[in-house]
Amino acid sequence: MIRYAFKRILMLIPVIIGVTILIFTLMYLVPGDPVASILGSDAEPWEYEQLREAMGLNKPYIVRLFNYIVQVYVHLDLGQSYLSGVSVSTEIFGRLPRTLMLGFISTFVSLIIGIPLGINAAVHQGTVHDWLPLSVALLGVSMPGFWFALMLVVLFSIKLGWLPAYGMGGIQYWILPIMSGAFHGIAMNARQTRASMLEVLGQDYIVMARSKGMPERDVIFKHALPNAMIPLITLMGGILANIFGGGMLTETIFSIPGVGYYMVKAVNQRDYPAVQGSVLMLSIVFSIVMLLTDLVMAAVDPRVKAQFASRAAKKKKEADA
Amino acid sequence: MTEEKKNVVAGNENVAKKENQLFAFFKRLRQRPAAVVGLVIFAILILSAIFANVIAPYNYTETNVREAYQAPSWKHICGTDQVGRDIFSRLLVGARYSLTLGILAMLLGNLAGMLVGSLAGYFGGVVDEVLMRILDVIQSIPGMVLNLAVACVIGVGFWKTIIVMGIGGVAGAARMMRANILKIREMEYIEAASVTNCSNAKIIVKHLIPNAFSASLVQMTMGVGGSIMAASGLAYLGLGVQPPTPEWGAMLSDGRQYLTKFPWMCIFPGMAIMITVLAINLFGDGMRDALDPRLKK
Amino acid sequence: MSEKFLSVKDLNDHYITSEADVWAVNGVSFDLERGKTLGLVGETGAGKTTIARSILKILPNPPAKVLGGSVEFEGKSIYEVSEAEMQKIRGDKITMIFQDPMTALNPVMTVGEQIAEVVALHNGGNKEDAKNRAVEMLETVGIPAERYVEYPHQFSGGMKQRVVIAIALACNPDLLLADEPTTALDVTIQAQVLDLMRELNRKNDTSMILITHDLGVVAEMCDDVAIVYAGQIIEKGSLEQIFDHPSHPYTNGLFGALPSMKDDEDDDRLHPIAGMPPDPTNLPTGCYFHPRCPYATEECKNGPVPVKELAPGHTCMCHKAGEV
Repeated sequence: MIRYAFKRILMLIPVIIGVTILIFTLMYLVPGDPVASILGSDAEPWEYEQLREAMGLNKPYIVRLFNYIVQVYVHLDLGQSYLSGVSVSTEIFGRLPRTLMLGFISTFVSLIIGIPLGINAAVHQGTVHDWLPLSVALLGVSMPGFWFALMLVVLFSIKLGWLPAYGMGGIQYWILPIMSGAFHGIAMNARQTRASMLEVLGQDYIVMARSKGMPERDVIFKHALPNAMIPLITLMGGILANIFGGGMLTETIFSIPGVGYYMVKAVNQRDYPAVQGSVLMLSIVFSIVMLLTDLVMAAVDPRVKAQFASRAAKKKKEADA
Repeated sequence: MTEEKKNVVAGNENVAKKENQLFAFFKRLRQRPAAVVGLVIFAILILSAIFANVIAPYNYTETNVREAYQAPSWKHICGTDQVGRDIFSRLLVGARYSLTLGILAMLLGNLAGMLVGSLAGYFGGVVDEVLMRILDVIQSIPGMVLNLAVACVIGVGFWKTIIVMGIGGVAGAARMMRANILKIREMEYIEAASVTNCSNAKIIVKHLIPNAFSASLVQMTMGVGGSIMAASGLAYLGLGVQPPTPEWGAMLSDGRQYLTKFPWMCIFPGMAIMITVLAINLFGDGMRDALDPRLKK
Repeated sequence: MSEKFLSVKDLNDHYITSEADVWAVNGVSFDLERGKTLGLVGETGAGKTTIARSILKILPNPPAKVLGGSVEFEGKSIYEVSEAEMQKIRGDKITMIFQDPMTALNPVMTVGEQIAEVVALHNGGNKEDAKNRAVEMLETVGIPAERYVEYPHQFSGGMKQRVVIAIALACNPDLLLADEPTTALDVTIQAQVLDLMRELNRKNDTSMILITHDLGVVAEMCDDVAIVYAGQIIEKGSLEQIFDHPSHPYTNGLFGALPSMKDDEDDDRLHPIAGMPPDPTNLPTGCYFHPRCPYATEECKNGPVPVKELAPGHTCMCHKAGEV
């Protein structure tokens, strides 16, 4: 298990470097000239050349890519904002806690509400416990998350005046963002939990558990649930991508100074070092979370563990031969 | 002569069998009222998009400053916007943009993804390994973040948004297609076909592609709704379709600064998106059940 | 013996869905004495599994519904006891072996835990005892104790079925319901598993209902035989009565569909039963077998079919019983 975890962590490194190359290349391809936009239209040609050289923009693509990778991974520096000149690393690390907090609390809420709803729906298939939450969940996956956030603002801030519509502060500032961040996840989790519970409840080993004289409660929680969780763990990747990607919209709507909000501003202002840094940081966070779900999967499902073990054993055999 | 006749008969049987399958599929679909409701709503949406000019009570571009910021009423059932345009009329015309966007983006992403996925699945080995590692990289960027970065390169507007959404869908579609092809390649009917001397090309065209395609049909249908929602998010951030195009996301983006006082400018475009995606999801859910071979008798 | 060990009377089970009403079991009655083995024989879909599961009251409801009938086990009416009491019977007094060992074990639990679980449920929850008993059972069915911690995917089909048998016999049940216990296994493994079951049953004086479509297995294992067709028992009797004097045209058909090892037969072809089993959502009127029956007459097409007693204990549900 530890070796598996170690191997997965090692596999993360080329992926993150790949993301670095990809995002650098994308930003390289962006039309427009950052030097001209910084200096404005009435700059002298020599001023222009000087700045271009200072920013390293006159060098060929491959050199600039190499320099960027060295800068990021050797000096751990994401560069400076074109516009403000502030270090991108400082900006992002200052903002990261808020993005992480929003992301993780939303995920947590979506799990602790979505999964019980799904279990309850599957166990009471065809009753009001089933179709009511399922209809709401269907609506939930059918509406854009940011629109739901806007509607929450209209209802709770504008009409009722209960909660602040935007900004930072005490816990009341976090309620609406977390509600809107978690809503889609709740819907997805409830739907998936119900579907895989129904699938599992029809399996022979559930009938077997009942035939052992096990109370229905234990049949559901000891036998059905662990098996039903396996497809859900795989789905978590999609839900997390949604929460971390949608976080940009949530942060923008509620003016939460997180990495997503920073990136949206940077894109609109064509501040490429800031865009590169934000994409990289969000991807690293996302990849680590995905890695964790993979490890949970391996811990829960002995077949995944066995797959790795047999592969390792095979390799060992080959090495011995 | 007899040989020819036999062929014709065999051909007819084939057609009849296919029609039968399609008929059986629709019969099974019809037993699911939710799926039928979804299909009907979707058909109504398509019809109203086509006949938007006829149905719309007002010209969607016509401004009327005296009637700006009107709340929903019998005259303007969804209210009017900041320059007095009738929101209902704009939503009807917007259906054209949003539906076209969703469908084209899904097709673009899936066709490109299928190409990549079948290359990887068919050639295997190094090609597969390289393509898969590239997909790993792309998929480790959360979808919305990738869309934003690509939009940064390609630019904004209706057609460019389709391309952005299409690119965003390639990796997922490619991975699914590859998985399908790998699964189908191991199936016994492929073995049976190759044992009966069926050529490689024929196996790919007649067995591999149709089966892999039908296996991802549900996902593709749902993908239309996903594209519409993602595009609206992009438009809201100012990097998708731009106002005054009456695409629903662009209308939402246009209305956000008036949210406090005139919320209907945001409420109705979002509801239009929700109804559309709901219809697609209802139909998709029904389709998945109807196609599920385990439920067949 | 004053009371009957197991007595099933007029059992009726339907599966009711929005699309159809499946008549799975239609008035099944039989008795079983302690220590005896009854074979339930019939084609796939004849309702054998449903009969077994309704004795244990583990039919999924919905869609399954028990519409009528009674099951008396050791003098207790199964359909009148509470669910809590039923849980004490299941796994302890009555247990079940499943048809497909590949799907009968929980993939994310070790096999040892799955055996120990049933013991712990019925011994008052002593974990240590349960574990010891599980190890003992593993060895009884011929699996080394150190495989206790392995998962089902690490076992072959035959080994998994041994684990299932270990679970079923861990609490020394009075009645074992074996639902096609060897159908999914290779022929050589089948013999081993059957030997194992017979040996263990004899040792503990366990009664068994053996569900199968394999007459060879029946001949080897059973004392009594009941032939099931379309959810009804159409003929039952002792092994000798059924094998030596098959009376129902369907029973005859079953024997005709077996290959014979004798050379002096008139022709050495098999005689499959013509036609298909009836659709349980739309059963024929009269005798359910009449559309396939070579001896069917007008009286078979309508009205109830009498159950005739041909010899003590040998009954047959046919107008022509004893004539053909």
